[in-house]
Amino acid sequence: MFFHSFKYALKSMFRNKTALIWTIIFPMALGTIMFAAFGNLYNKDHTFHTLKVAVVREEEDEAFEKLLTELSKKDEEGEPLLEVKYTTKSDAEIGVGGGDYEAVIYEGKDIKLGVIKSDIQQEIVRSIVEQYNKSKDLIEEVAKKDPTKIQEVIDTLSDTEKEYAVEIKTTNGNSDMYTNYFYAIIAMSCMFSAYVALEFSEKISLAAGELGKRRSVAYQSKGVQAIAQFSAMWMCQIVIEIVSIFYLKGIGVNFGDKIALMIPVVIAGTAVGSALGTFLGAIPKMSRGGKTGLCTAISMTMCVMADLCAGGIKDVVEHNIPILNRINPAVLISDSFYALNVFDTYDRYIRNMTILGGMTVVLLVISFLILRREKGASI
Amino acid sequence: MSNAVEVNNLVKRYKELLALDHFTLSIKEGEIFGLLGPNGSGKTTTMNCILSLLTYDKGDIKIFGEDMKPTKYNIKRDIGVVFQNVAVFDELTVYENIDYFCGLYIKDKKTRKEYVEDAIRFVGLEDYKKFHPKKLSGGLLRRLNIACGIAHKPKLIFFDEPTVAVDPQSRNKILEGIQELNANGATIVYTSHYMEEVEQICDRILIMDKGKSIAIGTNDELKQMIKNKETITIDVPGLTEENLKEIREIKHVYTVDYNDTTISIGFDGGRNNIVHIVNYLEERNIGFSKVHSQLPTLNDVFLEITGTELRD
Repeated sequence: MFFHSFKYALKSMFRNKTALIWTIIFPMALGTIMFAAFGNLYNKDHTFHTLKVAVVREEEDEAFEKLLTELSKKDEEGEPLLEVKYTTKSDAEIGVGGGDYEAVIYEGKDIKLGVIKSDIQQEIVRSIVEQYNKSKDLIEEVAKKDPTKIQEVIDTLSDTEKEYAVEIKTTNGNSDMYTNYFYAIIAMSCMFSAYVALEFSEKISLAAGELGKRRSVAYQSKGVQAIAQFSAMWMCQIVIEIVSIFYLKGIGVNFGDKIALMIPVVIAGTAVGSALGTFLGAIPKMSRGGKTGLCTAISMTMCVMADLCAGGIKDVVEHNIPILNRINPAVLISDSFYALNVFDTYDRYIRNMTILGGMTVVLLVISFLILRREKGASI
Repeated sequence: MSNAVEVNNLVKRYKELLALDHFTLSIKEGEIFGLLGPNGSGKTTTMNCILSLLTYDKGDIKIFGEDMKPTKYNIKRDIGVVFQNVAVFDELTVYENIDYFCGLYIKDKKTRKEYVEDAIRFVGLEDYKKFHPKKLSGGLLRRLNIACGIAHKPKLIFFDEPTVAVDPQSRNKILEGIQELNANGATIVYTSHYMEEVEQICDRILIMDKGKSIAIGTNDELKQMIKNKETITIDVPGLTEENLKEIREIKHVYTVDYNDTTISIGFDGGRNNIVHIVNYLEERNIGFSKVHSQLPTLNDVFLEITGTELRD
């Protein structure tokens, strides 16, 4: 009887044109448009090169200059990360315009970033500056409150730096900033599973009216019907996401060499999207319009925060309220792709997948409890 | 004969509104039982409580002798429900919809196929098997709705106002179908506010109002409960107060209403009442036309017990 419900849930889903448009055509179309829009930017050579940085010294910061010196030394491959030139403000600004420098750093009481060209390579300069300022603030604060703990903090920061150094050891994957947008599109597509799930979840609840009532009075329990429906929906969404990934790869998006490992991410991503929709659909005493609105608000906010519309939001959140990135499924999905294609280790990938799995279980358990306990008190 | 449904002392409140007020009923196996009452009287609430779709504040409900609970799947297997509004999947065809709902009860594919074909034949949708619901007319949709509710051959079937907004032809087909299901052994619970339908098909009728049972019995038993046994209406202009007084004194007349052109006379019994009235008018050379005699209806029963029209 499970497969009976599963079969018809699949049929209903594939014949639901609106849902199909949202889940299949929309991400593919958006991906195609984005790929066309990036044009030559996307196809240019992304080979790493040493970054030419102008430093305008307004007030000397010995520690920062030591850091720059370290980063200007040649690495194992004989190529330094930065090529630093101390200069005046006007020379730096003219130089960056003329292409002599790729970024300008103002050294003073605070280290500030001046002109920076938008590219993943130059993002490195941004993270160096941000990381330095953060560490400096922390040490200063500890020095004020409890100077005896300074060494402990420095040690901790050193450990963090070591971890960071391990993480940034790159794979043969692709870490350019443009691919991040495509990761965000797939994350969005996974989150859009929520719309289909919402519709189907509603059809099983008493809130859906007589269709829900008819299914509630049936011999087959509502739990089995709900699981069959969720399974069908999930399977359908997984297929759609895999098709989308291969479509995007087909048009030229470079997802790196670990494409097979992207599949578990879409499995977890569509699960959490479908679970979110199931949960929203199960909310009692809320109109369909209200639920759809809530679904749009939640999924779009999550996607925007996963850098779907503009890059950098995810990083700002990471630096200020990192917990938000840990509980945002769209960020977790896109970050899993990123981690997979950038880092050699799987720690971040596994962490993200575990959180996604946990969120799915929590949402589904709550949804099924609501559906099971509902007794139509508002009918 | 044992009871298919027993409801004892049921109380259901929606905040301040008392939807069911210590409501009690019993439905015998094999009968067509009518729940009649105006809109808002509590018919659908009663049905939803019986089906465990609604919680209730007090009372108990038994189906086929067992307490009814949401998890009593062995009882649910024998129940079919035809809801007031059409409840089908737009994405599935007529055949698939019936097969889907039948499959929520019947596991065996071969048996299910037979049952689905029987249901399609029963509602006369043989030519529409591959149609999607949106392509069906209102009457055909109602028939599909019925097929989805009865395809698994339940022993107890609830019909909740299945003929609302249905054309007369489809309505007759539905009523005939219900009688056929009953003839094949199913117990039917039929809720409606159309008294003619209830009179036509139900073995016993419970009239309810404001969440209470106000009368129960067969069609004839209910009509015996009230004083009115016949109402005669005559178009007769120009009657005087003296005439009206004399008419009130005719045997078995207990009420007279006159509006300058039409007189309506209620009788509490007697035979040949129409002859007595006509003779009275002829003896006094009073001209009249359009004489109409009507035996009591369920509306009269409702009117006499509650003081309001059932149709209100």
